[in-house]
Amino acid sequence: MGQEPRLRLGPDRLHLVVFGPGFGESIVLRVPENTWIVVDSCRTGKDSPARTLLREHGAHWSCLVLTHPHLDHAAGFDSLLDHPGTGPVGLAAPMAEDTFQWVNSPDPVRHYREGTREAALAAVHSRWEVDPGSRWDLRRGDRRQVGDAAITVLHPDEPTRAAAPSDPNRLSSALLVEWRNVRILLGGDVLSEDWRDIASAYPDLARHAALKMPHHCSLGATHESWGRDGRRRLWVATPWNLGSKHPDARDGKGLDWALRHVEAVHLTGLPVGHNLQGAVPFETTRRELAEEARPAVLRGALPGGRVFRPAPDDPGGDDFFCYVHAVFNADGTLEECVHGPGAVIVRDW
Amino acid sequence: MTYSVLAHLDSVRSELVEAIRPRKPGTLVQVEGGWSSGKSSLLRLALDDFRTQGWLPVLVAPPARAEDAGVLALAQSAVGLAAGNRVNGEFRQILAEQGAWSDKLAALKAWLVREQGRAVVLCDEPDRWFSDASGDDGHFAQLTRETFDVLRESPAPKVFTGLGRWTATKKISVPAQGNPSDFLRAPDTWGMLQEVARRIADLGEARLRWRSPLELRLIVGLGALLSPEEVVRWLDMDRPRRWELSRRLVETLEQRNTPDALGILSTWGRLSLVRRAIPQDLLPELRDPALNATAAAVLEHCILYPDNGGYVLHDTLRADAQERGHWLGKDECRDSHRHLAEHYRQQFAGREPEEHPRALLDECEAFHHASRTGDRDFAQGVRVRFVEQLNILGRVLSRDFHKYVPAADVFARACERDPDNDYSRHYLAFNLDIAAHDAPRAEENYRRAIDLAPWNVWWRSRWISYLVTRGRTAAAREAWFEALDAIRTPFSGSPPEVYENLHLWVARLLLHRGQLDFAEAVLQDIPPAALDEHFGLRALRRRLQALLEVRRNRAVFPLTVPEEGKWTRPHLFIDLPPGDIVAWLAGRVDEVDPENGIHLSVAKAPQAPGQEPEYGFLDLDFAEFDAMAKGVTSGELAAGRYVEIVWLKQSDEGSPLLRAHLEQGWEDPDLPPLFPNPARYLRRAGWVRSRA
Repeated sequence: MGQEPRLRLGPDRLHLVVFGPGFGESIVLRVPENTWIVVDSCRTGKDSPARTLLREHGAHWSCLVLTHPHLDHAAGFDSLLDHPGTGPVGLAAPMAEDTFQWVNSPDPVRHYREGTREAALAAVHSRWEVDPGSRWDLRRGDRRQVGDAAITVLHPDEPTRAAAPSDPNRLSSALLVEWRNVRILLGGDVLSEDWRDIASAYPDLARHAALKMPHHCSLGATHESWGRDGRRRLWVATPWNLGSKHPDARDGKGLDWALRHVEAVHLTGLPVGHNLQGAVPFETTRRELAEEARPAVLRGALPGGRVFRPAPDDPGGDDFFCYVHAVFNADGTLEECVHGPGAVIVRDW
Repeated sequence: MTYSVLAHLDSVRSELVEAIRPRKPGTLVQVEGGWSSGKSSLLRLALDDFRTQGWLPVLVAPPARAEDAGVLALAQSAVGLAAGNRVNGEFRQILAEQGAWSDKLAALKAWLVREQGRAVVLCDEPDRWFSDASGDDGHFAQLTRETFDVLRESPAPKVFTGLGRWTATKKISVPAQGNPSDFLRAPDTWGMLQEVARRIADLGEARLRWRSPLELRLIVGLGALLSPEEVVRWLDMDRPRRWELSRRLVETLEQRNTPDALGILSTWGRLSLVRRAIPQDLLPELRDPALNATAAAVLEHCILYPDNGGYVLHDTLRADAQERGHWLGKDECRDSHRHLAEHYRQQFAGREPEEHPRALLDECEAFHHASRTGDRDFAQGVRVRFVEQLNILGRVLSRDFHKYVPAADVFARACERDPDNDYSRHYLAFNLDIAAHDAPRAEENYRRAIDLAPWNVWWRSRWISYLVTRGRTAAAREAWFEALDAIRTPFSGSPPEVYENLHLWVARLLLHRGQLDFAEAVLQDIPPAALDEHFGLRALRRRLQALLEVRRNRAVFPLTVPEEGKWTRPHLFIDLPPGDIVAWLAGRVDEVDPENGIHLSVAKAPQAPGQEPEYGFLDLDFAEFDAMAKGVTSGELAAGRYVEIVWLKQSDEGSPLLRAHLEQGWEDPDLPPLFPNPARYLRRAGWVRSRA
């Protein structure tokens, strides 16, 4: 503990930190006095930022949850399990691909993705075996008291678990964390069709102080059940910079939908390289973002006037965290919101 | 053997006995001679001479490089010594079912000291008993080496045959075969092939002068199958070596492909499973019953040779059969071993080695063959005198039959007999681990084996791999540093096999699991020169570089493209002159999005040396893609596919060309294999998706 922790965590407050470097995400909740809940894991540089945060504060985890074993949630989860801590270790859909289905793939991304997933699952399996009391098979309706916080599992329900759909997002867990009057909704990667079922079991999901938006604020993961009810709630989303990239700022897409329900969406980062990357913090509008005007998305020139969009800068070391850090008092009031380098506050106009 | 073959040994036989006669401590006579020159026969003939002169000859001739060569060397030594005084403490200790290997060796050592006045130790080609192998083979080679050391260091006079480098007090050379012509013409040597042998002698006498008895037999066999004239012509033209003779015999039989030819081969294969002389009554049981008279004669007079009322298959012909899989299917092989096990079991049935010492050797052979059946219960029905036999049985069940839990049971039995046997402990753990069965017990025994032999690289390597497999990375790191502390030699680093047996496997698994920093640390521990020399380690370094690129979101190339060659030129357009290409992109399909088209991660090739590639994203709608694609359509694409886009000088710069890499599996031939399956614990827990 030679260095000052980078995030100041005051007493008697609930701290929500959403990390979203690259295409992964990890959420840390510090509940007074000293309860640490970590949901999912990602990597920056050589370690998971959640673990670095725990280490900087000399903290032991009280509960770990892997919402689903996709790389952008599982990378480094095994290192979290290696960090000191005791308590429930939650997982809903322990499913890996057979090693020999992919071990001869020429695609290195697949190797890294599947191997990392296997490592995370192996770590959970091992922990459950050594400490059976830590086993928490996440299923709808489960509620655990962790310190002064209560965690309720919203998804998956038993029929979905039993059907074992091939898309792991269908088995992703959504959680509701409650402390005094603070309600935090963690959406995992739950998709719209499953929110419909969740809403029928939990009709008051819209009543929350903060939301980690499901599936990088993609339109296919939105639902009115948690959308309506108050524009001052804090909604945080992490970027997904592969494939179709999220969040999408165009009309009719996820960010547009979100900004019809809240004043601002706090992005831990953007999925493309831009001229303000690393600025702390800055605000923009969805229109500017959609037009790639502010921040200005960088362009790489190709022959014939064609362009490509450069990837975001590689954070490289362990120091560069894309994060949003929110502080709530016991009444559920957001007292402070701190943005890390790369984070963007997006308003509608 | 007939007299005519062995006549040339008479003079050296007397010389040998004379060399030992002074009974001087430390006497070591080395008998030298080429392959099949008669060295082994000389030792067997000399046994009687030594006995006549009041010696207690102890002949030790275990099968070359056999796993149980050490066990058999010890057993043969004990049996030889027991011929002089069978009931004693040392023999009882060697026969005891409980007891460590080291205790039994100590008993042999003490016994040899006690008998130093009359024992003479005859070791047949001890330099072939064991190799310099490492790993598992190294373990068994070490046991053999230890037994040999006890014999070599004993105060009794010794005779060693072979070309090993020993400090001999006297060396004797076995002369080359005396007169091949006499041998070929000798009556009662060739049965119905007498005429073939005689004809070969007539045609080729001059060319046969330096041929050994084994070679002459092979030549006669070939003469019977081809013709004496053809064989002699071949000898004349090509002057084939010994191994060429047996290869031609095998090829002739294989090409002939008749029931008789194949019958000879399968019989040869079955006989090659026998490691001792073949008694007269066993031969009909192993011989193909349908062989015609000529085939039977080739078998009995050319492939085998008669010895002491039975038959012998020369070691080199056993090796030939082994190289070709004994010409037996797996089931036939197992059945033959079962038959041989029963045969040896009958030999000692009702005879206890305490009263009939040679029964110990029959017990050992019965167990050897029983272990090769892969039937644990059958094998365990044979009495086992040495813990190491159980270790061999466990190894066979695991390695050859993939019966991991039964193998673990056998190793557990070994541990009961010798709780401090690190090999048994380790392989009990490893087999449980392979089967993902009873992890706490596996852990306990992994740890125990390391406590017993902290310097053993394999014990460390598998323990660390186990921890990585279980997702216990912090514990694996700790175990890694402990291993380095235990194994490293100050100043001189580690011997090369450490990198091959420890670093290689640990790094392989870590890379598989995406533990890149740990893997990098493991590879960085290897001196660059050692890493550069090893194909497997170099492949691991390549894989590490590729995965680090993935972690940095910079992965566009497939694993088939090595790091150093990435930017030399486009890889899918090697048919185009490089000078025609003005720019190119390497790309990976990230997603085929039915709504929006194809999303690529791309890297723009550096335009000049020293420049860096530019990484980014390129989105193409389906029409755009199909317009530029050659040999592939957007409908065939899936995420993970490698593509290249090039712009050509002479064409419209706005119309690039795109090609996609073939979608097929690829295995880096240099990359060490993944074994056991890293997902085995997950699979056992039902956490692995099964595919039809």
